[in-house]
Amino acid sequence: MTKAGNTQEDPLKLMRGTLDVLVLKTLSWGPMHGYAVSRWIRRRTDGTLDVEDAALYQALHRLEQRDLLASEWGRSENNRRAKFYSLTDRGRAQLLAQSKVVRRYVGAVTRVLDARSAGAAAL
Amino acid sequence: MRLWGRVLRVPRPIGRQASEDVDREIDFHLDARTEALVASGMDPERARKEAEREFGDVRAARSALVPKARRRERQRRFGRGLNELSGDVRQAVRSLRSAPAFTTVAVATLALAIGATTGIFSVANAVLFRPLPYFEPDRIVQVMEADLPLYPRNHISSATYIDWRNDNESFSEFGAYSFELGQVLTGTDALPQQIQTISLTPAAFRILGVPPLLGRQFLEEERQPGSPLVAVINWGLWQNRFGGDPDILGRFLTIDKQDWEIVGVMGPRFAFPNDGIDVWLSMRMADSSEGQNRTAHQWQALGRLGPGVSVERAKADLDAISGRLEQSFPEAMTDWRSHVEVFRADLTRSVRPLMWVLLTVVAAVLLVACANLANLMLARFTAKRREFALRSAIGAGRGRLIRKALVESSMLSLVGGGLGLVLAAGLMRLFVSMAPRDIPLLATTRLDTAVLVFAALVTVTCTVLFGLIPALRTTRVDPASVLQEGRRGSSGGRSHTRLRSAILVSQIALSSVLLIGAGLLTRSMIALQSVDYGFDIDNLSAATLGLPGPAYPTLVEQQALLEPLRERLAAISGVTAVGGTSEPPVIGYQMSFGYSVAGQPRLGPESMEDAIQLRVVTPDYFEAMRQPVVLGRSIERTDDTESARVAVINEALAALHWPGRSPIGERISTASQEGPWLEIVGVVADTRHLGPTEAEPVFFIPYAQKPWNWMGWQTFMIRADSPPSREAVESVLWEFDRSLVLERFTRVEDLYADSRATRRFAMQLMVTFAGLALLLGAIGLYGVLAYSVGQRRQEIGVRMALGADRGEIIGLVMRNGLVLAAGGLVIGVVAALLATRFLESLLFGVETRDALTFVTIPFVLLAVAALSSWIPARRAGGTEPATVLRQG
Repeated sequence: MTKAGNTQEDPLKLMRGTLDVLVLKTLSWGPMHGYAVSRWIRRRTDGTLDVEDAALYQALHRLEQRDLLASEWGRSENNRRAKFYSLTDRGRAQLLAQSKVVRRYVGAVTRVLDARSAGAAAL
Repeated sequence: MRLWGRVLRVPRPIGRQASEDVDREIDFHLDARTEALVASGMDPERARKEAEREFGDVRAARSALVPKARRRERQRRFGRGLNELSGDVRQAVRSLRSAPAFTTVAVATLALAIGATTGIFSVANAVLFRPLPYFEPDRIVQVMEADLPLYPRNHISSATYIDWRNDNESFSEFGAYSFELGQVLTGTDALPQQIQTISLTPAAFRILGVPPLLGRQFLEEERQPGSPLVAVINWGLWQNRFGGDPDILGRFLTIDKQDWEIVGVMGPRFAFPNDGIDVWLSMRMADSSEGQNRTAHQWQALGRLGPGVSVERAKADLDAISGRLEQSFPEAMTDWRSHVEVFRADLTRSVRPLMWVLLTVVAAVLLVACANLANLMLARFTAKRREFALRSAIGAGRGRLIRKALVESSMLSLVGGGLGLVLAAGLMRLFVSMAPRDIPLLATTRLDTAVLVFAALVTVTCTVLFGLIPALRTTRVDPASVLQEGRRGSSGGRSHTRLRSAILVSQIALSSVLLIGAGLLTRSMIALQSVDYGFDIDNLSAATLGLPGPAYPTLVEQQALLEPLRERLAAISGVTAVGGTSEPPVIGYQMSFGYSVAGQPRLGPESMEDAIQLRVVTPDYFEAMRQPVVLGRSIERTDDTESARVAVINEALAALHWPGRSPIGERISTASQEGPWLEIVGVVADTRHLGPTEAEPVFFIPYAQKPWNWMGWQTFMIRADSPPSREAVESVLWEFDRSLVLERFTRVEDLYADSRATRRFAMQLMVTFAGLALLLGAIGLYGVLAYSVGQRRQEIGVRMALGADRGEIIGLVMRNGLVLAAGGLVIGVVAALLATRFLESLLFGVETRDALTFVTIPFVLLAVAALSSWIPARRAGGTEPATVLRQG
């Protein structure tokens, strides 16, 4: 993934399905509430990706619905009731499968985009 | 209340819960972000705005999330419930399998009780509850005339019927019907066949509101006198006689030599007024009562109540019309009023007491069974108290413990109820085959939805009764105290013993009520079987013959056939005497006539006395019946059309008019006080002709002097050392006339046995159920004592160590059992004193408070109680103090 040097650039719109993988990946570090997931993703991507929280929550709920995540009400760091999400076994398997797909996809796209220079090098 | 909340765990509504959860999650996010931004130096208002901007469309997100959350919440709850339930079920199955004796006894008890209850209910449902298959059957009423005060339900005269029909303001439709006697269906292509018919008016068919399968019912113009004869046939006759011929409409039925055009066929389920009717004939009837007969009562009526009209209002309406008629026709109408009752109720009037008694009895058996199970469960749960206490100590709520207990009893109920339903299907058939055949609607008994729902309700009730009560009692534990009780001493405390005793006492009380009922019915049966009928009912057969009217129009033709026929029957080998009568015992038509006695004032207010039974008999009748002539002479062969008219009366009639005097030579008339007079030439002994009830006043006239041409039928009473077969009698008939039909051929013994059928049925079931209750009670008593002996081994051991001997210990336990039994017995006897009056209509020759029964049954019950106490008592007596105390 290319790192955007210029933060003035418009953040990238997220491709469908990618957000799910990001959420799963994030939660593979351990159970956290929605806000933490949101901060985590923003921090890791330095704001490159435009993850709208509204979409994030929909993803969380969607993944829970599909039994990829489990949820539980608990206490946050500042002792407020918050909903904590954690990865289920199915979620873990899904993360593994989906990361491969995303990697292959990104790899394929990257190869195509880098084709000229590679081709030129071959010539 | 809090407890219930825990048992049932009343949750928050799913929708509210889901939307609150979503709000809380989003609020938390926004708050957390805002705080973070404020911490980084932003002012709070801007921070909040920024947080919301980052979040995106809060409202849209919310409305997208809530429905999903709701669905998820529902699944989650269902899943959790299912999960817990399947855990409880698995645990219950394990625990029941580890106690096979308990489980078997419990399931068998439940299956028997639920099976018996459901079986009886399926019969009662058909007879009492399931709506009749007519249009709005609750609005259909049976209308009769009431001849007060003696005959509140008499047939209607044609004149009164027509006045009622024309003048009433209560019925939207009013129709008549009338049973036709002994009809014979003939045809060129088939043998003559005895059929049952009724005639009815078009309105009666409209009231029933059931369309025909084929064709039509009757048209209003077909009611007019002189209109063509039309008939509707039932499905059975269509199938059996006409092979289901699709072109049946328009064909003719020849009934008693009259041709009726078939205009319709009813469906297989249709029956009116009972399921014995093969053909419905159109009934012709004048529009006005003028010139109609007001004293011959032969009709019945069916009415459909108008909108909002009650049975009482309809009756008041008809009574008012009858009251006006009384002014105009005092001779015929004095004290005649109406009888109006919902058709179903009228139809089942005679069997309702029996059905309610049976329902009550099975309900009592069910309660006894539940009591037994409750005691078993109580003992079982008490033994588990330590387990409960432990669970409760480690945090299992009481609600959850109760639920576990309920799951266990539900499992038992489910299996028991399932087996019970299978049993009920069999018992239902058994009951129907045992039941007296004249119970209306009996043939419609089947396992329908109502029966299934009933079985389910009974099963649930059982579960609650025997599962919940013990569960509530035994789970109310203080863990600390139970756990401190130590290993041995879990007797369950005084209150549990009291509960067990209370259950047992009520069980024995119920059983003794049932036993007393069974005792009374058995005594009735014995009394019935030893009834003296006043004539010899053994080796006597009754052969009823219908003469087709047109072939034998007058007495001359009838006599020409019947007399040689009678002689020919008497010549069958083994036959010793044959007499003819118009009225066979039990099943006769019970023809009654008004009468007058010469030179005596009337007994009643009318010109003629109240109707009494008239029988038209041949000279050999009394000899064949072995009915003694106590005074004067019998009817002789010389009493014919040429000689003076004579009558023979029975002792009851003699006692009514000539108490202490000889009625010989006195005169009696079937017409009015002007004669013609019949001279009384003899008095015969009373017979119980109609059944076991008291003899009624009767007079007999010679067939040869029969003053009418009608009444062509005759029943031959055949006295024989070895009763002839039906075939032998039929072949004799057909020697004379191939078109004769033997309507009925039965042994008189069987007729009387049929007349006992209702009481016998009640007795058989009552004895069976009371026996079952007694057995359950005995098992219950044994169980409670055995359990308490087991629990008190310590105490018994100590007592014996302190010098009590075996006998004292046995006495202690026996006393315990007998005191419980006696307690139940006292309550039971008092309850029986109040309850047996409901049996009154089923009893015969025995009081509802029959002393013998009320003394004997308690002894039987105490004997059984002693027996079931003896076994645990002996075990207690065999306690070895040393062993027991060492174990302690």
